[in-house]
Amino acid sequence: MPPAHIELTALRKVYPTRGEDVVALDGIDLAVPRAAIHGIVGRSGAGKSTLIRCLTVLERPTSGSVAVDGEVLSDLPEARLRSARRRIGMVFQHVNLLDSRTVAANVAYPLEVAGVPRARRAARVAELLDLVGLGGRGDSYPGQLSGGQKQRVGIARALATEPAVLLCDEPTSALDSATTRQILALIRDLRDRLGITVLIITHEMAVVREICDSVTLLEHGRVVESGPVGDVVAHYGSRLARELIPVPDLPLGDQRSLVEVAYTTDDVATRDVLSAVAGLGAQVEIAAGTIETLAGRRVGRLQLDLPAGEVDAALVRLHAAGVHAEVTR
Amino acid sequence: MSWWDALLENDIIRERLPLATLETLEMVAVSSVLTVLLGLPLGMLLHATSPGGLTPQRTVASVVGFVVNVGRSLPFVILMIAVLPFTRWVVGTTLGWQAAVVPLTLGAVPFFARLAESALREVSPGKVEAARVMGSTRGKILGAVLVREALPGLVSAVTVTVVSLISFSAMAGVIGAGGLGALAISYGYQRFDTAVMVACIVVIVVVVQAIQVVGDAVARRLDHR
Ligand SMILES: Nc1ncnc2c1ncn2[C@@H]1O[C@H](COP(=O)(O)OP(=O)(O)OP(=O)(O)O)[C@@H](O)[C@H]1O
Ligand SMILES: [Mg+2]
Repeated sequence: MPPAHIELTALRKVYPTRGEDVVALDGIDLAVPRAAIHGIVGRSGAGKSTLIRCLTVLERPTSGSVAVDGEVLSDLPEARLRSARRRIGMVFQHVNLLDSRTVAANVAYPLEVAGVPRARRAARVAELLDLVGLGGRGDSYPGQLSGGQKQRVGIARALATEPAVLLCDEPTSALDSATTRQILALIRDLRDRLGITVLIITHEMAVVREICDSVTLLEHGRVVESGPVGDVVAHYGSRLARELIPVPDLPLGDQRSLVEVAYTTDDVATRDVLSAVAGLGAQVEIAAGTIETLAGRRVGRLQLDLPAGEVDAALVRLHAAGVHAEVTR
Repeated sequence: MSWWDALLENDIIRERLPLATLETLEMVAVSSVLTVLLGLPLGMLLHATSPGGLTPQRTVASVVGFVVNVGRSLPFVILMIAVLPFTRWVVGTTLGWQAAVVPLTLGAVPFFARLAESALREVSPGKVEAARVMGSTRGKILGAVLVREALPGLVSAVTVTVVSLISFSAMAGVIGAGGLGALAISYGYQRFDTAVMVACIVVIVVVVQAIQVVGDAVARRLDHR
């Protein structure tokens, strides 16, 4: 495995509050390799934003360490941190552009901060706006752009100082689904062309399915599940697998049970699964099903609706056919 | 004889109104400039030291906040008289529009500081966070993000303050500051010269309208949201 480009070790963040202390992050270990796109998912309050704030050290970790590109950021003094942050680009849900500046001046902002001479700034800004597909819009104000265009400016700004790492906190949550697609395609394209490492926080599984190479599920400040998307979906019983390849919940008749079948085509062909199911008899119905290709792996999930009395026999035959099967109700 | 001729027939209006108008404008202009110069930094301090500000400082915030509130709660008539010794020390006299600048500025600074603070608070914390992630120093955030983004709101705050200063300046006329207030009181009130009173009111209304129109136009020009 290549050396990690973003590395969190035993990261803890406790917010002291008036009552009880809030443990927002409770011992996070996470390693993201160079040029990977890694997703962080979790319910509201799981600690996703805190994680990203610790990564930029806007929030000092209570304990543990944060390293980006081999440099430990978590114990740098504030002045060194300011220059270290230039190697991290960040994209926000609400974009956070400066309304008083033109698009070009917004993209130039991090260059000003980094002390890039004015003459070189203009050329770099033009190049960045071309990169995100907004060439020629430099003189507009953010207020004149659509949500998707604003986020493109946000991405151009994040990339201005040629960061090694791009952090995205819910970058598409304020966008419609077509615009979300475009922004995600842009992020993937930038990763391919620039070789940057991307960490993307989201509550939308569609984002993970669309662009992530690997994913981590966070809950109550802990890592619950984590791994490459292809591996995670093959852990059929895992929460991430169920959320990434969902099948609908179904109403169930009297004396009937629900058996969930899951497989990848690495192990068994769909047609063989279907004939195994057909062999279970006329009382067994396929009530719902999905077959999807994620991270180059084709995964199928079926819900079988069958008489409660036939469950045991069915499980034996399904297991013998080489598929995962379990009773869900 | 038209009403206009009647106004010009009035010696007081012809001879004293232009000078009184000029005094009012000078008094208001100088105290407005001083108010912004002193009140903006104070507003920035209030904002920066508040919880969630750039450098939260609970003690500084509450001490400065208390002083500002005391300043704001004093009625201007009382403040004006209470600071007479200070005025004499600064200006050398307590008479004339120059002397009035002292109480006017002292009265308007806390008012403007609060307005400036709330204009700064309108800038979304997300913009400040973004600037911090991009490695900005606090000074850069204060100037290029907070003040610059709050500029339309700050201009409106200046407009409101200047308009209040005009009304305070008339009160200052009572204790010898001159200007339109003094003219209106000594002729319109003490000598029942209604024409002078009306003329003063008209000039004040026109000046206030002009300031409001210009202030709104500038704020709109600066606002790109
Ligand atoms: N400044 C703070 N002071 C006290 N508690 C905080 C602070 N910031 C976050 N928390 C708490 O830490 C926990 C994690 O919050 P965080 O914002 O990281 O969640 P999140 O996963 O980003 O949620 P969401 O999806 O709603 O954005 C929550 O319980 C929250 O209340
Ligand atoms: Mg969050």
